[in-house]
Amino acid sequence: MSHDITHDEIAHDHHDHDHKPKGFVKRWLMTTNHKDIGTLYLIFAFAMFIFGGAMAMVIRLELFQPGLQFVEPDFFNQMTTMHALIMVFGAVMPAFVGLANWMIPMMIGAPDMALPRMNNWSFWILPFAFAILSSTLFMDGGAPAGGWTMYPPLVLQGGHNVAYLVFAVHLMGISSIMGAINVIATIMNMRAPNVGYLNMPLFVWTWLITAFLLIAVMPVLAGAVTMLLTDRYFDTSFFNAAGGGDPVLFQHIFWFFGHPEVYIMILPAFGVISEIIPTFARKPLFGYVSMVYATAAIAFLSFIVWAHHMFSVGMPLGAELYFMYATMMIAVPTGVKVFNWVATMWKGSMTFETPMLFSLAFVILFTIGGFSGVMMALAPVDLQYHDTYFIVAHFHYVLVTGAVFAIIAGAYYWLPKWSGHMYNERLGKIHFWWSTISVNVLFFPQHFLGLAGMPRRIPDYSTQFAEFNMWSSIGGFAFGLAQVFFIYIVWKTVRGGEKATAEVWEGAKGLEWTVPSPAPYHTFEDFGPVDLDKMAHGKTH
Amino acid sequence: MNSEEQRLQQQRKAARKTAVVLALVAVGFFAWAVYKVATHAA
Repeated sequence: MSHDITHDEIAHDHHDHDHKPKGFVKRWLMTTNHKDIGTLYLIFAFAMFIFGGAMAMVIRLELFQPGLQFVEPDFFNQMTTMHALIMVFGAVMPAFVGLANWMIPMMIGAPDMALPRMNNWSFWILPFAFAILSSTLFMDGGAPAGGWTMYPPLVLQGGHNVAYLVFAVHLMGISSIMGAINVIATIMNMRAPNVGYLNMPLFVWTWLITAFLLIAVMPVLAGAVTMLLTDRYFDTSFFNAAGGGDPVLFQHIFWFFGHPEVYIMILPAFGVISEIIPTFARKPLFGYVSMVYATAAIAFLSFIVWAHHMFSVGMPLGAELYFMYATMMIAVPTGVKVFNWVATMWKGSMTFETPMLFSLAFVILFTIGGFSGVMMALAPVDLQYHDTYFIVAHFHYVLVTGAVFAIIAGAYYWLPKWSGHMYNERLGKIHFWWSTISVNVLFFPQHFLGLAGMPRRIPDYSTQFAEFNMWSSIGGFAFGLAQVFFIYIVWKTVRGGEKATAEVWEGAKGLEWTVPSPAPYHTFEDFGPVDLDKMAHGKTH
Repeated sequence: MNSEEQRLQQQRKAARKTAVVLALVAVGFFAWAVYKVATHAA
């Protein structure tokens, strides 16, 4: 290091005098520490994952056999809607914000996030948003049941849950935007003096780009749902055809938000995987700069492809052709990433610890989700797939075996750094194989169901679909149980176990691996230049 | 206040400016979405 009173030494010195606030309220409710807030986000996301997962269990239970067995159709629709809203806004997005909070300051040599008090506020808005959303389950008329896309006029035909839904979406949006502003402000302003943009780990890069996406699209969703609210309560007709409005316009506005939202949930996952694979292949990431450009290209393309979600709504042939070809172009930068991960592993000294296993599964299974995405981009055949279980299979491959697997991989990878203990590798591997087999039993048959014509969002179905649905439900229950097992593994690790070293993994590179495990409450107190050789991408200049 | 602390203060000040600009951008996207819908002829 250029200062040889290093980050490590100072951090180590402060490990024993870490100035953690005393008392629960000061430590957790009023915290401005990026690690505490990261922990809060991760715990909240996991709680929401279990809550949304329980709703998925209700869905799979009802679909175990044809006919109506357990729940009323309207409650079934509430479950599909709430499951999606909770998983997207309550589980996946906050989990990545939690990882960002924990890791970004450590990775760029910053003392904390740039705006620590706003960071606290960003988190503490979320429990209120989801309390408001969840309260609709106990109201007359129940929770929103028109799908997470909130299409009018359907969504407006529910009870007063619309007002609660819109307010909850506003709060989630405010939280996300403040979180994104903090990430950008931190990365742009708080890097150690000699850390350039092209020295930053890929996880930091993917989050920087994701944060820009969030700032661009969350306000658009907020605008759209605000107009839904005024249509419902103030007699406007923005989306009401009878009053001169246009319900299809809502779909355009929603998907202008919704397609970048898909990348908001997957770009940080790409970042996590790009950190893990080089560590366990013991090679630098292949094509670092091309990875950065590919991420930016995917983000740009995400803004100009939204109508591929609505081919069946009716639009001019030229528009269909444009959206079809533009969508297919996304396969190019995504392919760059997949090939770079494979090339990183090529001739590497690979070992297969749990984070690496989840990352390998990510590369294979996310690519399956990507391929079915290319199939749907074909406008003529999309009419066959639209609103079927093929779509359900596609986006669950992308979001569960993609985003969720990356979050789990990241949790195993960084857990020793967070807790100071190694997790039990044998239990981790059991969790991996249990999850990977069951998730494929859960979602792969849904491709066949969709191609055979089974519509999504229905509680009952024709008997010809019975067998695949039964398999899918069995896979679902097994996958749900595997995540309860994951709670046990994490709990056991946090409570104790083999002490983790500072480096944790033999092949790990990056500033976060230069500080002790668990990472000190205040990571760096020497804010001078860092040793670029210790950064994963330190030699790009 | 040593030079590193001074630099940290400057970084935080710059971060606040960045945050204000980004918040304005977010408000702009909100206004744009509402404007597009409000001026759309069905």
